[in-house]
Amino acid sequence: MTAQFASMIARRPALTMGMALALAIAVVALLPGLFAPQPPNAIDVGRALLPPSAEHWFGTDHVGRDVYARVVHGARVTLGIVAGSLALSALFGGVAGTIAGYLRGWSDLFSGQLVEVILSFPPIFLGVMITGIIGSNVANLMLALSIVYLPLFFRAARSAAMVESARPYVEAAQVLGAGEGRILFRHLLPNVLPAVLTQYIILFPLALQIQAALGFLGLGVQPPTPDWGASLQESKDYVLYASWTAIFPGLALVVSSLAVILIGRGLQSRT
Amino acid sequence: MSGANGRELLRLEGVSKVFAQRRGFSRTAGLRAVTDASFTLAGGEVLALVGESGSGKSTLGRTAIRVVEPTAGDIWLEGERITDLDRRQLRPLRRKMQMVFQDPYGSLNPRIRIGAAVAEGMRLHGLASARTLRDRVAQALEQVGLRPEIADRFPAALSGGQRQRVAIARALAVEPTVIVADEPTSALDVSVQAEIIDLLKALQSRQALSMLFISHDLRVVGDISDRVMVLYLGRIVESGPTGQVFRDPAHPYTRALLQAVPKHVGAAHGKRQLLKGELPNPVSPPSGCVFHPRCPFAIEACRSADMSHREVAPGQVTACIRDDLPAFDAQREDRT
Repeated sequence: MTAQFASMIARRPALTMGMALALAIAVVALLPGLFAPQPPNAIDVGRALLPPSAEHWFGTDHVGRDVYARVVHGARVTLGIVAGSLALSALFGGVAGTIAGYLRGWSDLFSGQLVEVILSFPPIFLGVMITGIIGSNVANLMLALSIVYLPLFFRAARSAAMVESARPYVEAAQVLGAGEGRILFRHLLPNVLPAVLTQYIILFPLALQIQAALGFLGLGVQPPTPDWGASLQESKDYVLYASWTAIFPGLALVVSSLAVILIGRGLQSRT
Repeated sequence: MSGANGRELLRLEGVSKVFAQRRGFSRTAGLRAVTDASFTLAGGEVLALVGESGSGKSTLGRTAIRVVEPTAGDIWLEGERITDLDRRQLRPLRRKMQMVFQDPYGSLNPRIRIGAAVAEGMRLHGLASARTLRDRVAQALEQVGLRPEIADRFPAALSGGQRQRVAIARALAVEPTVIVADEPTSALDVSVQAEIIDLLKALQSRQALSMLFISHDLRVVGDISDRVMVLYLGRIVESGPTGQVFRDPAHPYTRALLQAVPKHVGAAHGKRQLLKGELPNPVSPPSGCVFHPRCPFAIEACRSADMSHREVAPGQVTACIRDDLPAFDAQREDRT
């Protein structure tokens, strides 16, 4: 068992490390209270901007909140928003792309053009625009992020569906008397899914960046909810003499991105 | 084996298929895959479609059961005209017309278990209740010589021969009356080919199935079929009882095909250059008899021949206008 595990690490070190990291981060995000019992929003102005110590591992911020508690509790908020909005994107983009790739014709042309329009905006600009128009709260932020990444899921699913549609099992299903809906959902979608999942892994770090950037611009999660991007924003005035207020939320972003990138790399170099 | 009930099951009249080709916004001349094909398939009969690749045999087989839409002509199934039925109207009829595909690696969905794949047709056509479904699947698998336990596996766990058996079980599970077998053995190892042919033969005679057997392997065709149709460039150039056609082919193209069959495995024979040139472009087929540019017996009149069929023996027709061909000798090549 241990030997097996060791050989797995040796064979696919990136994947194993990425998975281990992601698992650890997921556990922290799901059960923050277990790792940081202190409340993330407890203000204690008398103990503001203290450097890291045994009592406050990551120090305290400008209103005396424990940075460690805010980073740990922020994991659920930040990563949850990214994971959730990408899942929404993958669902709608994936299904629409599969339909377009299978049916082709005018619906494909129309949705393809619509997607091109979205793609022509830089993601951060589009995110600012959407949250700026409809207001910045968690639901709107998620909606904005899903719209930003929908085209990429659409494209990935569409091209996979086009390849799969040409395979004989689709014709075989038609010969059996299966309707379009059945062919799409029972036959094509499961075969398009790997392409969508790959896209999900590729886009996760990018979406995390955009989420943090929007948080930094104040267009994301509103205070006092702990969020890594928002924490970076709050720390910007103190970063010169209380660097820990920025370093630890930033590090959390880097490590989370790294975990997903490692998984992606590991899956890519499949032997 | 021939004619278990002999009644007409499938009839095609003047069926053509032209694949439209688009270049940008303009439509150019279409690819004529099948031109003016007429034939009938009787109950319990095995009709073989032979020809080289690109001859349109797969397209004709698919058009006959309306998997491919005909551009012209009419199709009748059990006396009912099915040419104009739309997809929805056609769906209940799918049960009667099944197909076995060439590539058993592609024709089974890699993400659907064998049992579910075999059950799909029965479920779609309401042939089994949820309770009896498992038993029906087991029966269907046993019928093609597979163990029922295989139902829980995915296609990737099966060999090519096993997969083709599954594909056959899937097609037969809905109790069809016509099966189109599109080169069902050409993607398989030689050792497995004979097994699949024997299985198809056994099932065909046991259930009095009608089969349209598409192949370029004349030895298999001679083994399995009652009648044979020879296609060249989308045209039926000769058809008739298999034994009769193989013994005394009336069309020069059929002769060339038969002479190309190696007689003894390992026997040394000189380079065979039976046909000159290559299959012409089906977008702009030759005038007159489409075979005349490659035909060793072509005469001036062939350039404007209309390729209508004439009977040369009971049940045997040819599209060749020459009735003065030298006697056929399978061992020797025809020369001009």
